[in-house]
Amino acid sequence: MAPRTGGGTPSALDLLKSHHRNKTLPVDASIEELITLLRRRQIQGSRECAEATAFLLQRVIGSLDNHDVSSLLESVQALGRRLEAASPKELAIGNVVRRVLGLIREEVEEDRENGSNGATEEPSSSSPVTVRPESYASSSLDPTTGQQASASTTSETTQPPPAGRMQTSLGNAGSGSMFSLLSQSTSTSKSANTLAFQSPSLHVTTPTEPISNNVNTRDLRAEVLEGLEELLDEIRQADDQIAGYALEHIHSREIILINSTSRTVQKFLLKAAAKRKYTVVQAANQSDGQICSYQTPSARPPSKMTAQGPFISSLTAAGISVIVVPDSAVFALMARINKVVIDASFILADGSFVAPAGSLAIAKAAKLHKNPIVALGGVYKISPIYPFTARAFLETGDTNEVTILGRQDLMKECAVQNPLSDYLSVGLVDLYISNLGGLVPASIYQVVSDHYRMEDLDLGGMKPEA
Amino acid sequence: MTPAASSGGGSKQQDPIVADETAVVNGNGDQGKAPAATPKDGPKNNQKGKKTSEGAPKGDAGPNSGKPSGKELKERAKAEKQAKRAKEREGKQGQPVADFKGGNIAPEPESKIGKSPGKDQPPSKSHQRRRSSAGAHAQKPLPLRPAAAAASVPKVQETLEEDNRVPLLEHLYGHPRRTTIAGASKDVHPSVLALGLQIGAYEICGSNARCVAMLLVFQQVISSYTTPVATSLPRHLTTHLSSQIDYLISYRPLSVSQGNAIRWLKVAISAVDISTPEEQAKSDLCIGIDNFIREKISVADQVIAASGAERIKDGDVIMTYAKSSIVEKTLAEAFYQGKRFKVVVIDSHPLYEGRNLARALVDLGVEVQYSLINGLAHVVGPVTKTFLGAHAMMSNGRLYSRLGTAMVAMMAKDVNSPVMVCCESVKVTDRVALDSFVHNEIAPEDELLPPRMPENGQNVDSDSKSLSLYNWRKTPNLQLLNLMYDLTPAEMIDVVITEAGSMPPNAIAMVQSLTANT
Repeated sequence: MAPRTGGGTPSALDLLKSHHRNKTLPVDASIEELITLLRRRQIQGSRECAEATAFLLQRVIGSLDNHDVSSLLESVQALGRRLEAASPKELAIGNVVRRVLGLIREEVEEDRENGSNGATEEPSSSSPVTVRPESYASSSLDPTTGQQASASTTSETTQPPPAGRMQTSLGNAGSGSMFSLLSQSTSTSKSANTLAFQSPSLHVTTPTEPISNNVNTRDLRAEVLEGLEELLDEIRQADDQIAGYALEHIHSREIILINSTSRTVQKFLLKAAAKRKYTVVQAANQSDGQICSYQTPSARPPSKMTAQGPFISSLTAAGISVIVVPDSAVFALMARINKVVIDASFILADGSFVAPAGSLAIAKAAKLHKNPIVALGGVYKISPIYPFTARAFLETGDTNEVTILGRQDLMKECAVQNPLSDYLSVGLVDLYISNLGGLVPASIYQVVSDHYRMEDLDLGGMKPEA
Repeated sequence: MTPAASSGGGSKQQDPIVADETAVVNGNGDQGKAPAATPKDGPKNNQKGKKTSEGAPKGDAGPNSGKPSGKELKERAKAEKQAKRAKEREGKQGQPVADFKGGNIAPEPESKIGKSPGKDQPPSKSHQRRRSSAGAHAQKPLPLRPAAAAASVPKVQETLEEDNRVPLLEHLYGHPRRTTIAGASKDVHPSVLALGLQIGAYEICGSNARCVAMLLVFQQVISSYTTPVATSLPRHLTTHLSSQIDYLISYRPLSVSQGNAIRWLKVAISAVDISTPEEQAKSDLCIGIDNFIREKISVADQVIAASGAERIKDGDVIMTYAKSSIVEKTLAEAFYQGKRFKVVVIDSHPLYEGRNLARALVDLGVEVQYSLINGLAHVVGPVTKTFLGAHAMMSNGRLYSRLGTAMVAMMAKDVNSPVMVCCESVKVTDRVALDSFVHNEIAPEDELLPPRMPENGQNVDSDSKSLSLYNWRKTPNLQLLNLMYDLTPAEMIDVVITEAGSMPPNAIAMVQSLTANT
């Protein structure tokens, strides 16, 4: 689950990039391509998935024309749904889609403000924006929100304008109109509010439609694309920015335990190595292909195979002494470890996170020895989703990787499990280091509310009725 | 913890290759009692073996009684001595030998060094014969069986550079493990030679199995022992055994159970009355060993298995780690009693002992779930009970067992499942330990690396940069650490089941004092 590309092997992502850059494939084909790659898990890891999604969105939004805002939102949502379905346990995809949706809404709001300042008063000033409860429950989020609705704060949304005026203002609002997306009863917005996202945008009412003329949309599109470019930069630079905080967390002669070979961890460690001498203990687990790779190479993504060598040699070359141990040795060594650095696959809204398999046991051992646990993860990994059903996010791998070496017969007769990720609840991590700096788990919700909009929590699992 | 071949009988499963090894090494096939010595290999080396065993004692080293010219004789003796030293040195460093996997007969560096001037002469002396025969045997490539391939016996075990040692555990790096019989002292009994190889290759693995195998082999050593002149059996046999033990240690450090058994055996030997006829004394000792095995291990296991099985109920989900012979017996016992439960076997790299347990349980008909230790968090949820095997119980109540046990115990406690340790009293030691660092065993680091598969050969080459872990010895700042054991804190253990009863871990010292008296 964690990104394992430590080296510079050409990956599926590189392939995608070149396709996007050269526009070799038509838009539909590139959507299909990404979906296929995601389904086959040829693109793995949050960063890779986030980047690929952002690329695709760039491509899709860039190619849309003669569409109004509602259909823009709608098509992004639809794409998001498909991508999420292709790799439902990779939340970074949904994160990027939601960020983009937020971008669009923001631009729309700005336009509206400009419009209302300059032009005549907009008749349909606002309608509450929210998600419908039923689709909400059906999403990977959770049904329990419905019950929490009673405890919700009162909605600050204004009353929707008369329907008649709405219709006229929407003009050609068809099946994919903003109307159906946005016009919901205040009761549902209550339920949405309960998730404690105190985002200002949450309560701000969004316009039903800024008179949908195409010129406006095109401007909008350009701005959205610009925002997307920024988002891509953020994703790309996240590792470096996280690494920038390394010196604040690693002291000389420290012994740090890691359990992944991700690029984020690599950069983080290398940055500190430039100034300080310290030791890294790498708990390598076998099924991860970290130490062993018995499997036929073709059966697995190349990144997995080759992760270990370059990763370790880059650390040792930088002067870090690296001790490679099997992951069963973690408890034995924990007494001498000073800090545990884990690469978060994604971080959930309540401050819990998902990390490569084995992390939970490591974290518990660290807690037992009172060692601090630091999780690394860019903001793009922070998901607005609440882990009501944490197990739903955990991915399981090929059991062949566990029963290698001529014991395949075992698989037929006993249940073999090869989980790829662990869910670590809130209390286990002491600090997140994101590209925004150190974050305590309790403040993750703040980041969520700054980056996502309530109305995008659900990508709209069902077709809006006409 | 865990017998690959559990007790004496277990050796039957060992495949022909091992039997072959045994045949090569084992001179005294006629006893055929030890796990090492399968009966069939007797004839082959019989004569040689007989002669060898006669020549065993070290004292009469003067090689050439019948030879002329004192000076020549002296020279030869000197040369031989030197050669022997060189050999021993080499053997200690584990500097070997044949490319195990290659299958081609590697030139034995040994034989060259070992070739003293005297060697060219007709091998009339038993001493020389023995030497040369040992050399010849060592030359034979030892084929690697699949199980051993998993453990990946290193091709050439190099001594570790300072830089490649984990500084924290510097004190644990002794001599590299011996991997061949080359350079063994001539005193070492052939069946001990074989046992050493088996232990070194994890053919016999687990503290019970090692203990039993060692005792059975010692029976052979004792049977073929003749007291040299001018000394007595109680005095000399212990030193003779010591050299056997030293040899075994050069493969792997003794387990606690082995240590306890040896202590008992030495006491038994020194207690032999000097006036007892030698044959009588020897057979008494052999009977004594049989009794020890029966009492301390076979019967103890039955008692523990029965007691452990009582604690298993229908519908239980039982977690266990790696493979412990006693845990396996307990589960089997419960299953025979008609209890239906599910077993979660947690396993780990690099020994994968749990696979054998999973296999055995599946064959019994038990429902088994298998997962590696990194999947612990996923499978631990429904677990209701946890059974762990022991390498040793420290007298401060801590469990010293296969690396990873502590992690399993911790996660089991996390879901509030009782953690039970099955441990014979022979595994209880009066040592205390607070961490896994002071006492531990470091296994060859190369075991952590996957065996280089021939069919992937070109892949490895082309990818050699990415798989740089293979030449980790040459990489500065890089250390591999392959610990064998860890220490589970007493507070994670609910009960220790011994044949003397079940008790909380902190009370284990009681067993120690109890058994010390008997």
